[in-house]
Amino acid sequence: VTKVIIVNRDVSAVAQLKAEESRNLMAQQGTLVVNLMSSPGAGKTTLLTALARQLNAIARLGVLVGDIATDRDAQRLAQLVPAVQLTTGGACHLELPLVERGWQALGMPQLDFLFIENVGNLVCPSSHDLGEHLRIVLLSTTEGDDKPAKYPKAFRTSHVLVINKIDLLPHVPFSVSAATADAQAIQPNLAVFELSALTGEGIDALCHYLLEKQHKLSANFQTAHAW
Amino acid sequence: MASAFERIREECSLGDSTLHIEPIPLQARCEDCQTVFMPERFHFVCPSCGSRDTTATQGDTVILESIELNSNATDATS
Repeated sequence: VTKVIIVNRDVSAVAQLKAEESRNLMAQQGTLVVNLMSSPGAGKTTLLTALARQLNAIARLGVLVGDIATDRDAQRLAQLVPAVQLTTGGACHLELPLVERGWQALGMPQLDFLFIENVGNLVCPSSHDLGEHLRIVLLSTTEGDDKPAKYPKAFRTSHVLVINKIDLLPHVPFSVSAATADAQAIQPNLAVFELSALTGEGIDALCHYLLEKQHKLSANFQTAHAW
Repeated sequence: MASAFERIREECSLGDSTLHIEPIPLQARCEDCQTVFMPERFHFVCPSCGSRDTTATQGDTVILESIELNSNATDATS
């Protein structure tokens, strides 16, 4: 006896639905959720530190920091902003349920920005929707300009490419134009920012962009709510 | 996925069940000139008109198509 059950469904359909719910919920509160991805050592925590220094005075920030082990990054950030460490216990990426627990551990405050620092990895995190409104992929000049071609999905699924450590450009064989061209061929709508999180060069433009996105998000909701 | 299935097959006593994986090639469509193309090296710029407004139409998801059950025993539900 043979019985064929036709399923014909995307295996990630349920996860996508949950992520969409979370995205809407955060939008209703006016919170722009930002998922920050990169290789280990590209400067995610340093970038968040630089952003927090600039945005702290004008916006309410919260940070969730993903790592396989230790809470060192959260400790670094907690000096500036409310930060909770998400320890995956071996997993190479974050998933929505862990993010939701982190958000609860943060006390579910009313925020303008919730930054999620993903586990340092350019492969697996790109396949997991954390309910973010904005996905930023960070590429540092010390990693080589062929990363977009080698890890296309991370760039394909992102909205923003940040090229970090531009202060080191005189010392490393990295072509900003080659990296940008490759990344934008993979994701034509990618916005690109070149900066040094360490020296602060170029941070202003990214802050301006983030503030604009957050204003749009909260204005959209207020309009929808009034209707 | 194939090795994960092997583990589950052994641990859940699924006998000689097999997993059939059919790779679907990545395909995209240009929203401006409607050209359908295979993005080589994941490049999503339209090869015919150069538009950046393109959408992946297949090959970027995992779809569970069907489950086939074979049984020689009496159907438990009947």
